[in-house]
Amino acid sequence: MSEGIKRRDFLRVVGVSGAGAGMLGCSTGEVERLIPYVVGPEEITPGVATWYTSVCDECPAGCGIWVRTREGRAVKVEGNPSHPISQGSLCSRGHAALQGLYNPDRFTGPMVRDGEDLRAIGWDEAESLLAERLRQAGPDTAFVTGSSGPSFDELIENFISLVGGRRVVYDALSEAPLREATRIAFGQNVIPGFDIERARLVLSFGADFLETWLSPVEYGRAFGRMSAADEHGSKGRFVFLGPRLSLTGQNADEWVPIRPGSEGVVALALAYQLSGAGAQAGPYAPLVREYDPERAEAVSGVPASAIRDLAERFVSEGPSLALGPGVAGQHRNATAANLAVLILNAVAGNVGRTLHVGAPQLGASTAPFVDLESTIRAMAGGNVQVALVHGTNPAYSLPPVAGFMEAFAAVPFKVSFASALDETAAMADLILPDRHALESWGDSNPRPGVYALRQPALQPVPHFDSRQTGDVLLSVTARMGQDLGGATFFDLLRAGWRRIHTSSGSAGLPFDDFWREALRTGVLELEGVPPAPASLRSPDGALSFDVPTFAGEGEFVLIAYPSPRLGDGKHAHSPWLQELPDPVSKITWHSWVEIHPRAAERLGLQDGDVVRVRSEQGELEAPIWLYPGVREDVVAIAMGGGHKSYGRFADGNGVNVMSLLPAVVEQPSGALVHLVTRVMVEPTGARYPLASVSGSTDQADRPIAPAIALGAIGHGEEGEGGHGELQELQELGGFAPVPTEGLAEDFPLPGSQYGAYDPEDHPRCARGVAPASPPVRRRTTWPGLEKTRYGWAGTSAGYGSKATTRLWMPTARGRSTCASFPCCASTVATRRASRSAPSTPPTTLPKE
Amino acid sequence: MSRQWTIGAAVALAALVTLAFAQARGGDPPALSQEPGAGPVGGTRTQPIRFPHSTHAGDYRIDCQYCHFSAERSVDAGIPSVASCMGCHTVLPGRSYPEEVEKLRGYYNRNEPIPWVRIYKVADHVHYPHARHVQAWEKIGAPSKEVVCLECHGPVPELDVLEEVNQPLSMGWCVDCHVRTEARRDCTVCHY
Repeated sequence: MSEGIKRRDFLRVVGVSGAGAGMLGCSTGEVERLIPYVVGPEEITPGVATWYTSVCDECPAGCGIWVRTREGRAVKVEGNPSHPISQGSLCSRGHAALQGLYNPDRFTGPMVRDGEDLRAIGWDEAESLLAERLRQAGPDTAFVTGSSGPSFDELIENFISLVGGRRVVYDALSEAPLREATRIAFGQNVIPGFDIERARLVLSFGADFLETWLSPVEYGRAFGRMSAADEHGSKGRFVFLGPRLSLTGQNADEWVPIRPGSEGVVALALAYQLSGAGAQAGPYAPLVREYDPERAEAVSGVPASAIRDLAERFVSEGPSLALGPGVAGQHRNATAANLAVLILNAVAGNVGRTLHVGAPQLGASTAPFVDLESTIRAMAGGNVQVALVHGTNPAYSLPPVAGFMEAFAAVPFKVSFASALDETAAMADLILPDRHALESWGDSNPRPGVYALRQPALQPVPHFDSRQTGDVLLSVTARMGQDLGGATFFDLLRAGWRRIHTSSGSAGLPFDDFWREALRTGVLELEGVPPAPASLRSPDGALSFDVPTFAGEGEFVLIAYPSPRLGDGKHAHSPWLQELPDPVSKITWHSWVEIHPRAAERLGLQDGDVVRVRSEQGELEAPIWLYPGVREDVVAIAMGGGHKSYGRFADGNGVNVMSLLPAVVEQPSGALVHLVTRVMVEPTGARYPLASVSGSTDQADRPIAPAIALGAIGHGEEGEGGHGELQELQELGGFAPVPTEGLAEDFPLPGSQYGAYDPEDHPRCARGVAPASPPVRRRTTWPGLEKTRYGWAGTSAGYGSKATTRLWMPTARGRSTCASFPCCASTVATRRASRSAPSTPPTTLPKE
Repeated sequence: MSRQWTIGAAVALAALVTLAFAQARGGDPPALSQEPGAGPVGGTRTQPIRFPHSTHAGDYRIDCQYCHFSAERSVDAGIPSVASCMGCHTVLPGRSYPEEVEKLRGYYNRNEPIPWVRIYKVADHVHYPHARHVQAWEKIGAPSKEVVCLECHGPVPELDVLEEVNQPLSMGWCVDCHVRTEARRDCTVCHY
């Protein structure tokens, strides 16, 4: 090397001049302004957050939320801890509600179609226009809505009965088959309540109850408690049966990869085994008798012995609970499959213990597609003059062959209440943008006796001139010379809650106090009548429980499943959710086709190869992602991609799997069938780099994330030469038990130093501290063990008789402030609880 | 090899110098009010209204937190709303500078906030929560909660118009007090 500047000097020069620039940047003498309010708002203290209770509107489950506002703007959404559904938690879609609120693609005001384009008009003009068109249309009106809260629902019903016409509820993710099956089995037209927490063995026949099924936040909480080790060291078990391992399936203790569509047969075979060949299956005895485990083995691919085993455990490890197939498993016999699962529950004695027909789940959507289908026919036949759409987007979420777009286009006057652009609104003649849920009034009734109010957490975002649809409907009715019982939707809501107040037995409390209290706590829980016991009733119609035939050609059955991030596509406008890696594939933004590695090998395909997936209804191209969690005879594609007019963050990302599906209606529930077609998978020769954040799943034989079976830990501590896996981890250097007796005051350990710090005064959280709850997985990983100086320890009551509490404790040389952080407060508590437990002799880390 | 680094260093240096100058010059605040007599906006630290702290907090002994209403419960001390000034000045014409009270009424009648110039400012990477400091008045050694403000803000009740910062506001200054009062001193107490 000669003279001049070398690399090191370069960095030095750049570093110094960079620092200089930084210093200059600090001393610009810029004048900063302090802008006060002209008139200070009463509820706002600058610098202090104000929280409002409300109800999440991202799915129909009805989670209670807290909205954190700063200086009058919503900045964060959290679960309401007092609400029985959310219990302080919220799913990613609920958290991303803010991005719907501040979505830059929201409509800036009412608009009317002017040729090809939409032209802004005033609210007055828009409402008069709608009133006039409605007066002309009369009974030739169709109002298509998603499911909504009770007060708004009532208003829509009253509105449509006043103006005439039909009202249709349509949700892309609908549990109509489960409701229909419950009606057939127990005579009640509801979705039953599932008590997952109380169950000790849960069987899910494909229901993704941790992602989108019915009430995922509530079930997630319940599942967490159910599958955590209790004080006796035992934990509930979860077996997942289905052709694709969803996020829920990945949380299972066992996966039984049954053939797609064979859920009903397997459930009946389990019932057969439990009921003495069907003898105790009540009115379903003749049915159950036909489905012995051998028959199930033939159609599902599960060995009969495994079915017998599982059946035995289903009773011996009870109380147990079996959950139905869910949307991804809705095939032509979906009602029968749901019914089979209910029969299994009834035979195992779960009805009234873990399955409550009398305490139904009211939040879930059960709208059958068949209603919309008849409306589509009416629209195509020219029998609809005015079509109104609120809270649903059938132009995107229905299979194109259902013909909605063509039929809708034929309607002379189409009105959309969407707050932001979507595929249906893009076709509309008049757009009356609704307020976002966080700006609106509303209510929810997610289960009997549980009511919650949705209140605006902020003034409407000023850039978007929106008006709550309830108010618009009332104003339009007034313009038509009618009265629906109030000038604003708020009046109707109050009137509805007056009725709740009267029936709540709190008549001593003035209504205003009652209302304020409901707003303050965010939830009202009334003593319910104890549910009447339910028992199996005779079936009122013939159903086929067999595996349905799948239409089309090709070696793969297509699974179109609701995305845990984007749902049915409703949430695709949120960049947070687009960027959130899919919990299974770790892929962001675009769509992918899940295929088994062996099937891919047969086709000569690798990760990221673009394939053409073709059904009789359509085709699409997407990269494949090899996933051993799908059966070899299926491919799976998530819903939610491939938007065309859903704003800048959704459009053009991924593909819409619905374009492959036929519009088949399941009988008798009327639901849209999702698991219905075979597809051909053809290589295109193109490649697409997967936007995956996981990098590699291969540890290349290096102990990057060492793992150990939960059961092995107890053995390892029994003495010298314990379990092999444990020894292996110890040899890696990071696995040093430290004494876990003592109180918080005993720390820091001798030789280590912490900054003086009062965790109670400064609640903050350190990064990298593992949760203090016992591990619930079969295999648990501890990242970066050989690099840290943290020990691992635990002698408290845990799994089995021995230690499993996962504590990250600083060792003597650790110099970490971990124990002084409040995150560790619970570990301290655990330690306190375990003071009497025998301590493990400390072993030190290997010297450097 | 080192020739490349030399050229690179020269380019980087030039870029950084340019950037530094650009930053130094880019200090013009947005013009907020063009009201004549409202004081020059931009470039200087002249307040839009000559507000004499000495009259309000000094002569009339108005509690600091009467106007800076959230000092005890928020990170921000709170700048009084124009309406709260008008609470008194609807009837009081102003003793020291009546023409300044007219300006205040002008802002209020135009429904316009007063663009006060910020005097006390710690660096962006430092947090200074007012509430914590007010609540610790005893520890700080102030005779009462009402006058604890003076410990950091200096003798404001004796000053006329606040246009210059009268305290060092440096890290050493902060830490000195934290040492004296035995307050916590780990980095994350302020730098979080």
